[in-house]
Amino acid sequence: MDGRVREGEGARGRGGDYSSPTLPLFHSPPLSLAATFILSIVVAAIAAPMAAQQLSNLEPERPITVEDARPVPYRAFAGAVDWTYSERRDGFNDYGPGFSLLYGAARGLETGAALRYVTRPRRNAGRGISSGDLFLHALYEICPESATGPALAVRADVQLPTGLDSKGTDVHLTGLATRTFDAFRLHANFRFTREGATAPMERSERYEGVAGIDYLLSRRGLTDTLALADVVVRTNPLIGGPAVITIEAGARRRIGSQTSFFAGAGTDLAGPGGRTKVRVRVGVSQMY
Amino acid sequence: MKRLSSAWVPLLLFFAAAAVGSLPEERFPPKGSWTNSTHRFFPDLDARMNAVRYGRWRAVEIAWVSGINGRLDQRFSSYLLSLLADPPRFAPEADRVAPRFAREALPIFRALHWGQVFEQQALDILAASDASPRLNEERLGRIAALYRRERWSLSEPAEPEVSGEAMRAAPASARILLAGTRLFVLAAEDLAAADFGQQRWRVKKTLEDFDRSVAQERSPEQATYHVAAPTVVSRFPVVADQLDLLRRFRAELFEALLPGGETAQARHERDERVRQLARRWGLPVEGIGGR
Repeated sequence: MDGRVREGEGARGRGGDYSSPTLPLFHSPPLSLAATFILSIVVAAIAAPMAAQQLSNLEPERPITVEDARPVPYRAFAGAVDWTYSERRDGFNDYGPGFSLLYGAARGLETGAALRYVTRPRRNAGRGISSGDLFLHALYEICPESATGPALAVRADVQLPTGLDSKGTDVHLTGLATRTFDAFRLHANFRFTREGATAPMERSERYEGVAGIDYLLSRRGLTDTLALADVVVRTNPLIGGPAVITIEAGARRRIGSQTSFFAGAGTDLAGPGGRTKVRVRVGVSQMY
Repeated sequence: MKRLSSAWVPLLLFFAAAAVGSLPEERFPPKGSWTNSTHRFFPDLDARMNAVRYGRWRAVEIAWVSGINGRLDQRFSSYLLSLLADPPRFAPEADRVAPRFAREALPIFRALHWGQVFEQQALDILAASDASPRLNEERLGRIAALYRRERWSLSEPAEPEVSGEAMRAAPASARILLAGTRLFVLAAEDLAAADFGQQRWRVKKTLEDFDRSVAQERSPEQATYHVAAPTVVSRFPVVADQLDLLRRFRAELFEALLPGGETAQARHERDERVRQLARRWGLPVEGIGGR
């Protein structure tokens, strides 16, 4: 699910079909996006706080790519809304909101849906960035952390072509591992993507590897603030294109019993010409 | 179409991996309009309870790794007092406060965690703005039934309670933790025995007493519902019994962890004692065992 705003994953553009019908969002002024985001934050903030916060339950893109090998608890709902701004080396910057909903459908099984919109959808489609595609996923915990091994989970995403210029249904399969060492945890994610439809120069199979760390910042050992960092390496969506390498850092902080604020930033160290100079993301998540 | 078909192969792999097997997870705590009432209406009480919760998990983690002894008692009691002086706003994420215990003694960890959830919810129900004897009985009955349905709930062992050797090994820390347990009991009594208008005055007095006497010596019985919370016991006996069981389970766990696990031999013996504890309390023993 991660990387919908990034270049190099979830390629929807297929060369940027300019005759494609445009989403209403494309014609909306930026103010409406901002209004949507602010409204979502207000809705999340006024929701009644509930028990058992899951600050450590990492969700991809909240605020950085890395995810932990842990589903949301059985019968828990979690919702998140964020705003992302990407400044690109070619000057064609973009921004937009993202939304997600998670539900613990069974013990050890998380299901969810996510959606992200970005501005300049035609240009971003050409870069391989989707705007408006619906992601549905299931994450299953194979085993929790034990004395000898890390927590392991698998995740399957189906990316439906509901966005601008999208063609074909894509499938993503991710393996996740998490190991705790006192105040910090190490995470490893490996993702395989199979594109449902591709243009002649596009790869139909893509890979992504993520190595990440999170760390409790409190000197008193409180679990209210979490710092995160990761390195992401993924194949270029275009055949023969250079691999994309991204570094990111961020933090999550509890601002209510069930509410977390998160913020993160990242940059592409290597990749094609229009790669991200800096990407900033802020948002809130709420568990019900 | 062919491409689309091949795209579903990973999904089949996913379901195959999912079928490999699973360990049951805890469910999300039951929800209701009363959820988080203590945090909303009695933030000072909730903050001190959070400090006690942090202290309990930290104590279990230290005891699991190093055992219980006078050397650690001084440092740990200072940590507890500093937490109580500036108590945290939110409850801890237990598996981050006690990571080794969580992964090396999973059934015990989950029993303690599920017990903490139950305790927190019982207090939230009593602290709810619409609380009434009838509603309390109905809500507490519901969460007690849900608690007992969990695999990680505690069932009473036949044997009587063990001696307080762990308390003698770390007297300063034990006194503070016992005072913390007593705070939960007295707060429940305050909330159960008074209406919404009177609750805050009773809770305020309990907090003042707690702050004054946190390191005072007490017998373990003074931190039980059956001694210190007669209203809770008379109106909600099932809940009082269960919460007293939780206190007893915690005490027995500390007894089992007394020598710690610093050497391979010590870890082996500790693991065996903890397995015995799990068996006695009707918990699974799979997943208990250090490196």
